[in-house]
Formats: sequence, structure tokens, C-alpha cells
Amino acid sequence: MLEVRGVTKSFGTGGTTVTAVDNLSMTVHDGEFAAIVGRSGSGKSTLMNLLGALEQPTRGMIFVDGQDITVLGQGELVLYRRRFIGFVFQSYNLIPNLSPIENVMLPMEFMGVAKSERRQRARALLDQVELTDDKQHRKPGKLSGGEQQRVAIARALANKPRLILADEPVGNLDTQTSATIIELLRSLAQSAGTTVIAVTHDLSLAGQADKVFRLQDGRLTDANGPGPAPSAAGADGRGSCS
Amino acid sequence: MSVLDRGIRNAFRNMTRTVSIVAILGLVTSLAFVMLVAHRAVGEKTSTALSSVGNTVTIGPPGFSAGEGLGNFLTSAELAPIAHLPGVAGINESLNGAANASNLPPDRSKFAGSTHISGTPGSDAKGKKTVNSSPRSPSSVGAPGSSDSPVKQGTTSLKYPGTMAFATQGLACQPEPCTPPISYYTIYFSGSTEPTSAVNIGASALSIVSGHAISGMSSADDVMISQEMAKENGLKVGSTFTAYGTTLTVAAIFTSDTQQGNDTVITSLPLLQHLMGDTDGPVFNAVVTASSLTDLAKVTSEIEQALGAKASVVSFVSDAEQAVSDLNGVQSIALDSLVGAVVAAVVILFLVMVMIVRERKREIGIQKAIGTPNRKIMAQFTVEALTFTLLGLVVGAVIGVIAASPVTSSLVSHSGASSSTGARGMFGAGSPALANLSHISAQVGWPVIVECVAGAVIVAVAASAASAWLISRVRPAEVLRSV
Repeated sequence: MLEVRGVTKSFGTGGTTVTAVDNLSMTVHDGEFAAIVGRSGSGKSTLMNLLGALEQPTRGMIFVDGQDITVLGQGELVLYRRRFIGFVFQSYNLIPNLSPIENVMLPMEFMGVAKSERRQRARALLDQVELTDDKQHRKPGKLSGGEQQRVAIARALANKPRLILADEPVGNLDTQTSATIIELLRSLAQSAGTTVIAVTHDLSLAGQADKVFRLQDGRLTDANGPGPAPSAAGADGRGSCS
Repeated sequence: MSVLDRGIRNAFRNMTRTVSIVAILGLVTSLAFVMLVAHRAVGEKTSTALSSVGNTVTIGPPGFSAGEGLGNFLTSAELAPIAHLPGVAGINESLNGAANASNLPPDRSKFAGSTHISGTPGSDAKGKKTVNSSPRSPSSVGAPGSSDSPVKQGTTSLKYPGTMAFATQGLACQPEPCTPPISYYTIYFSGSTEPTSAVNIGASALSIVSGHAISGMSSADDVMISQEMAKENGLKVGSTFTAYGTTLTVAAIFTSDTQQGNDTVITSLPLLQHLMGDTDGPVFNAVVTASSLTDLAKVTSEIEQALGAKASVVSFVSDAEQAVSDLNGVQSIALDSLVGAVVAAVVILFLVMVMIVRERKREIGIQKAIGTPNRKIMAQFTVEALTFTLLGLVVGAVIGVIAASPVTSSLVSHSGASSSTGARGMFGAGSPALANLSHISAQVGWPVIVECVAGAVIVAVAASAASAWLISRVRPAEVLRSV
């Protein structure tokens, strides 16, 4: 379970302090597919970075399976990201000179997985995201946006993470590909019991989420069940906000 | 795919850039390679030259070091205080004599009455060889030339053991080519306080094969002859022969590594002085050994003060230092260039790696985000830098192997070392190591290759330090936010 308690993140810029996330609390249970929606500058990406331990909050606590990750040292945070988090980015962010299979093998290398097992598991994941064999050895630059995002999802799943953080995962994709990717994320979450939190502008993605969090000026204004329409916070009993 | 694989593969991501980087590093490395080879070759040459002369000072009569007419010989009495000077470990006084052998050269009658000059067995007063001389060098023979020379030409019952070719080697005759005429074969006598020293007979090795070595201070009529001389004359230990009208006894038979040595009869200094019939105890030259190389300058100075104008004092070390000073300049230039090339390589690679890290900042951020430890990313970039450096080293080594020898020769020839032979007059030049100093063989051996590889690794690691620092500062959140 992911639990955020009173998290604030402020940045100092040019003598002024900007609060990107302001006293935010939220809970996401294991296996849920949650969406965070909001306008540009509402603090979505900052929240994702905080959940992914890429940044440390100014105040507050973030619990992952009961462990407060805000008190971890740099080395422990690297380990946390490696073991518990899978990232999916809007721009895919694959390593350009590595083939899809090598990109997927990369996170496993640092978990000490044997090379043969890494290759086997990477192939299975790429099959799972329906990337054909011939494309598994091409350079990412020679794949379409949708195919690259599939590789990115496979890479995010490589170390069997507890949490997948997807930042605008369909932002660069056409409608049909977006639908495929959303369905893929959703099915993965369901089949593997992985929690997926996606930051998105895409209403169709938000519409398929188990839970939707709405952010405005760094504050959580609303959280509800499936679908884009707002409703009372925590009404479905699976999520809450404060 | 490991860190190593990724690092190497990254080095070839952009072939145009890789070729450019390797070409530049190759040129710089070739300079470093050539300079390292030149530095080592010149260093070995100077070291050999300096070590060959040892920590000795040679004392001779006035004019000894200049190759001009010699003044009065020194005497044992005059040299006696030298042995007691501080810093002096030993002194070897020597005198040389010559005697006509009992056998005559072939066709002697053809040259009868030609140019035999009695009493000048090696050279005349100007140092020129005379037709009845032996081919040995004047410095080693120590032949006197002044009119008041105590050395007298004698006769001996010994037969000359060498060949006509050796006996006339180095002598000129007109019209050439022809065999220079000689009236007599000459057998040389070397008397010294250290009779077993090979230097006395112009050899580098002397070993006793039978009998017992004579004492350098003994006045007994005991001598040492070569195995060749003994065979030619049918002598063995205990046999006798005559020289200068005195019956001498063979106390030992030796072998040496030169014909000159094998033609020489070795006596004690007092015996040869007695044979020469001079009661003043003349000494042609004396080699003083200093306690250490660092004492040499002081010992030389003290000897010069003690003997004043009566002697010519030659320290081969100062000769050698003077002769190799130009080579030291070459070595210094080579070292400076080597350091410059290494620094240039570090700077070039440093800038290249900074550029590459900045270019791949996003990738670094992604790797950090997915849990790659900093050290693994740094190692990956270090491998990339090492790949560039080693490829540059291969290119540089190929160029270096081809260019090392001609560049070294060119440096040496333009330094003036070729004109410094170290020779200081016909009696003063004595160390063959000081001749041909400019003939340096710059060879590429394993030590050079090992040093270059080690240097390349150090350059790569040093240049990677900057990229490592930049890598450590990359914050994935910032990098990914800017995407």
C-alpha cells in the first residue's frame, strides 16, 4: 500500500519560494490503477517524482508497505527505485543505442539477475507487451512511438516492481495506440497485482482508472472512483484524500 | 550486457566522432611514445657513459691530457702522498716498456735500415706513430716521447706471438695499399702496482690460468706472460727468459681478451723501473680510485693541488659529464615533451568526456531513475574513455614505432651531441663509451609498451574524474522534467 501523509514540496527560485505540492495526503492500495489529473503546473509531475523517490519532500511522509521512504539515504533510495518502482515516461526515454531487449535487461542487471535469466525474462516481457521478435533487436529509433512505449512498459516491469509510475504515458501517442497502451497498463496491474499511478491529461485513461486524484495548485481537490467525473473523496472506500 | 560492454559500445555510437577523437589522441600519444623511447634511449646512453668511466682519476706527466709532448715523468716518491689523501681508496701506478723481440718480421731484410727509432716504441714526441711501433693505442701503452724519457728500448729473448697484420695494424705506408714496413717486432712490458688489473694491458679481462699472481710492489724478477706468449716461446711457470739483459722468471700465465694484452709481459712496478735502469722510480701514469663517485671532484681537486704543474690530472667523469651534457639536454626536451603530450591527452580526453556526459545527461538521469548506482554509470564512462585512449595508444604506438628511431637521431644530431666525443687529447680520451655518443639506438621494448599502457589507463581515469563529478551531479528529477 502507498500512503502519502501531509507531503509538501517547495522550490526556491529567484528569491521566492514556490510550493509545487502542498500538504498532500493520499492512499493507493495494492493492485489499483490510479490516475492523477490536473492542469499544467498543478504539481502532478512533482508528486510523481516524490512517489518515485527522485526528489525528497520538504515536509511530510511517504509510506510504501509501511516503510517511510523520506527517511532513506541516497543509496537506499537507489535501491528502493530499483526494487519497488517502474517508470514509464511520456517520451519513452529508452537508451538509444541499446536494443529493446537490452533496454529491458538493464534494470535487472543491477538486481544481480544472471544474464541468461535476464534475457529470458526480457523476452517474455516484450512478448507480453506484444512486441514482435524482429523488433526486439532493433534500435529504439527504428520503432514507432507506441512500440517504444511498450518497450518502456516492459522495462518498467523488469524487476517486478510494486508500483509503476507513468508520467503522461500516452501523451505522444495517437488515440488508437493510446487505448492499447492504457489497456496494457490496466491489464498488467490486474494480472500482476502491481499498483499503477499514471499522471495524465487524457480523459480516456482517467476514465479507466480505479481511482482519480485531481490536483490544483499542488493541492488535492478531489479523489473518486472510476471515471473522469468528480465525486466525493474516498466515496468508493478504496481511496482517500485530505 | 555488462558495464564493460556498454562502455565499449558507447565509444562507437558516433563513428565520425570516435575516429576524430582516436586520431587526435593517436597523434598526441605518438608524440608521448616517441619521447618516452627517446628519453629512455638517451638516458641509458648517458648512464652507460657515466658508469663506464667509474670513480677514477688518472694522473700523468704534463701534457698527458692534451695529447701534446709529454713533460717529465712522475715518480713513485712524488705520488706517495696521494694514497693518503682523504677520499682516496687506492692508487694503481704503472709504467710501460718495450723490447725488440728475438724473432724478426718476414722479409725484414727488405726493410733493413728503414725507420727504426730506438727508444720511442709507441709514438714520437708529437704523438705520431712511428713505423716500428706496435698497433696499440698510445693511451694504453703510455709510451713516452720526450727527450728525457726514462723509458729505454730494450731487447728480449722472447719471440713475438702475434701476427704481422696485427703488428702493422694502424700504420701507414706509401703508396697504399701496402704492408707497412717494420724493422722489429715489439714486445711490451707493463709494470704496475696492481699487476692483475686488465686495464694495464689494454684489455677488459685478465685471468690467471697457472701459477700465482705477482705482487705489484715486489722487486723480485718474477713476471706474468700470456698463454699465447708462453706457447710461442715454449715457456711454463718457472721457466726463464731474458729482457733488458736480466733473467726473468715466469711466475704466472694469464689469458686476456685482446691481442694487445697477449703481447704484453706483466711485471711489478719496481721490477720494470729497475729494468729501465732508472733509479728515480718513474711512473708513466697512476689511476686513483675515489671512495665514491661523490668524492671524485674533491679528490681530483686535492690531487691537482698536491702535484701542481708536475702532473696532468684527468677525471673521466668530468669528461663524461661534459660529453653527455648535450644528451642531457635532449633527455630534458624529451621529458618535457612527454609530460606535455600526456597533459594534452588528459585535457583532450577531459573535454571530450565532459562533452559526452553533457550530451547524455538525459540518459544518465534515466539510468539513475531505474536504479543504476552512480558508480556503475561512472565505470561505464570510464570504460568509454579507456576505449578511446587505448585505441589512441594503438595508433600512437604504430606511428611511434616507425618514428622513434629517426626522431631520436634527429634530436641528438641537432643537439650538438654528435660533436662531443668526449675525447680530450690522445692520452686523455680513454673511455670508449664517450666516443660515438650520438649513435643512439632507440628501440621499443616491452617496458616502453607497459609504461604506455599504464599511462593510457592513468590518462583515461584522470580524464574520467571530471565526467564522474558531472555524473554525480545529475539529478534525474531535473533531467526528466526538462524532457
